[in-house]
Amino acid sequence: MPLIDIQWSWIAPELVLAGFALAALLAAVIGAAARGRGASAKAAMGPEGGPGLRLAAALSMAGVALSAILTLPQLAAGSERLHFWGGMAHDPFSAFLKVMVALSVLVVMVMLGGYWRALHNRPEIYALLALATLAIYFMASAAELVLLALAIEFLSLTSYVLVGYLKHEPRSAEAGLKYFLFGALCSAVMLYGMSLLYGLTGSTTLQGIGAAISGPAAGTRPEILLAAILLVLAGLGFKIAMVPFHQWVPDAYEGAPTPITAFLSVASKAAGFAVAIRFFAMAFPVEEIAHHWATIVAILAMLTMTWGNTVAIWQTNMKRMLAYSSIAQAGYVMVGLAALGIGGRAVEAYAIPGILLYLAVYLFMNLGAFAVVIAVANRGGTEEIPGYAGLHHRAPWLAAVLTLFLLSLIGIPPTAGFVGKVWLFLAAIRGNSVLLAVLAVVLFINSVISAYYYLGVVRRMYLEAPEDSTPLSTNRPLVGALAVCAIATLVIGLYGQPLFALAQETAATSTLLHGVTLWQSAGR
Amino acid sequence: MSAHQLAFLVLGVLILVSALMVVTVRNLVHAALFLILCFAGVAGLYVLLQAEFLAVAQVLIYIGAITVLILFGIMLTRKITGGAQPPLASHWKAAGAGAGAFLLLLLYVAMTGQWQVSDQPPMDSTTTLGLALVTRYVLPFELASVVLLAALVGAVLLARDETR
Amino acid sequence: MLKEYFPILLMLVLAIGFGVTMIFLSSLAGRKTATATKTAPYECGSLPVGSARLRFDVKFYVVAILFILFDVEAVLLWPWAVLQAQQLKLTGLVEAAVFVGILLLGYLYALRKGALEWE
Repeated sequence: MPLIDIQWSWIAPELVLAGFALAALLAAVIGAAARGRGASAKAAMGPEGGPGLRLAAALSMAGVALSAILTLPQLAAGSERLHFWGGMAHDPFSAFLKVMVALSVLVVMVMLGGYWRALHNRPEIYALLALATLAIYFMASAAELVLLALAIEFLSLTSYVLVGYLKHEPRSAEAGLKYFLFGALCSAVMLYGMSLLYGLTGSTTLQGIGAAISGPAAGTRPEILLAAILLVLAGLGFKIAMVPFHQWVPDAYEGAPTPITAFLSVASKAAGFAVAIRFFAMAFPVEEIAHHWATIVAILAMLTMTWGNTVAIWQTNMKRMLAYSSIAQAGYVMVGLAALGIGGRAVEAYAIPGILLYLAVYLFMNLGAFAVVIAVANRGGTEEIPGYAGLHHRAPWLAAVLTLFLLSLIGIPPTAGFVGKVWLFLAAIRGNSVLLAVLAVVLFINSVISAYYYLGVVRRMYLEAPEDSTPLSTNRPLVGALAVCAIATLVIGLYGQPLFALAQETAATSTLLHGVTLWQSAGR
Repeated sequence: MSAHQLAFLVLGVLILVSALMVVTVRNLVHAALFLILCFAGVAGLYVLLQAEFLAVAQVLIYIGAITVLILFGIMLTRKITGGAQPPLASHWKAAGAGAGAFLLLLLYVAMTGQWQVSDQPPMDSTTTLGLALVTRYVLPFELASVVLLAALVGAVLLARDETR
Repeated sequence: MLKEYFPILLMLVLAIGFGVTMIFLSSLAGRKTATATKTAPYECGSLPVGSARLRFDVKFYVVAILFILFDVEAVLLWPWAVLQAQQLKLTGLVEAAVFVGILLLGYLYALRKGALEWE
């Protein structure tokens, strides 16, 4: 084996993104120095910002867009590679997630342009978002525990800073601190789990762990492996906002700058699911163990959905309501993960494609909902739900698109949310298992519960009189972001066939996810 | 009892006692000092395991840098500097129960797990690690520098007062 | 293998023993006249009198964090440095240069932001 066996071209997207993110950082700091101090700095404040802000934003967006374009060829079938000594997996699955996350980050960056709070001469927010995207790229591809832990830590670090970015506002600073304390604990527990896995299997690559479990470590008792898996699940559960690792969500979502909240709820969650799927599918496909972890995931999914939806009913702040809704949505996606472990080959055509599809759909509808929150809160508006009363009279278009996004979050046809949910539902009922059938019923009941609070907002917007009937004006970046999200939500709902086909094709050709031992007995 | 076992026993007692002192002592500065002792004990354990690089890294980073940061943190907070604080927070019973359950779980796993023990003789760990860092783990190695950079930017952004 | 560490243990025992003996001997043989100046805590160059509860500037904290980050960088470079002379001549050099280069950017950032200034 040659000492250095690296095909750099495969990580070209990552390299390009890193280069642009670092350049954006440089632009930010040079811009800050060029503006100088004192009186001239004051002029550069406000949403327009100085030359540093614009340059940093342009470089970050260009980097994210370019890296997504460079990832596209990897979407094609037959391009699966496991390289860097088993550390990086490049397959259509990771490419799908990367393109999706890049898209969502681009929308978030556009939303930042329309965010009303002055960024106070701190254009680094764009560079940090680009770096967080880089972390997610590595999370989507990492197939080795060291790289995986580092990538997760990378995303956490950048997220802590982004959440606490408005440090002069007590709520944002408090949110950052809470997020940090909770995250530090969860990653510590996750690292412990990873060290146990290494000790039990003697390998840090996911493939090596999978091979060891059906080979040298086949005698390991399931409950021991399960303990290690559960510890790792703590770290992943933190990222996807799974009960009982969800406590940080409401405070962090409320306190963070709203575009960052949107980023956390969409991109960070998708990254967590990417890792969870790769981790479980590559390292623990053996039926005896898959059944155990999937049962736990199924129970946690029920708790997550039900808790999120029940608590969301009582919220009076829009961002907090969407935070609990995002916990519930994580529960829906976990249905797909549980189905994958229990149903095995029977649900192969639904589980991973269903998760990918739902994450893609969720991206647009949730980003859209947060874009409306920004639009309503802009220029001294409110984030409280009573403030949405009579929005229809003040800004008919905003009320209309928010209704669309909320209907989609419930899963009502003909919106994108409906098709996403149908696939997860199918994955659960095709699994030939009582537990999965129960899960499907819980999923259905939860959709009904969620309709109550989502429709409550719609009712306020259309049926109540506004307290202050001045028309709301929206700025151009927000209109752009809203248009993209609304059109995507409608188009996927009405004419989503190409996207389903792509998701199915992606899952079918990502052979790394269903390796030789998948859903077969360990062959003892 | 071999010298190896004796050393382990001494270090283990040192680590446990100092760790216990960290969470029970009333003066936070003293707690930080006990933390140094605890870290030193862990460094000793690494030496026993022939992981010399880790031992030195433990001394340089944890004892040299992290405890300094913790001491700064204590001094930066007006309320707790010098003053004696109740060592246990109000929820200590629940936290203790949680930690105890975790300990039992780990003990169970440690006692009953079948650990993959390498039969190769230990090598010069620092050189091996160096070779691994530039070959097999080159990606984590380079990514680590980006992570450190992000941490630096975040620290400067959050902690520096730019109103002046 | 523990034999290699025996000198370190010996050094440790000697150091602790020396300190304890000196304190013990001085308390045994020394003459004690407690004047106000003598009982005051001694610190080189500055008068250590005043409330211990004063707050430090957050600048100290930034410097401490920067110290940790560059400390970690140095420690990560160390195994590479041990190796460099023997194997992997150019590739290893380039990889380490990239590593240091990225952090150099961080140094530049801190410098331009004035995080290292001491007004």
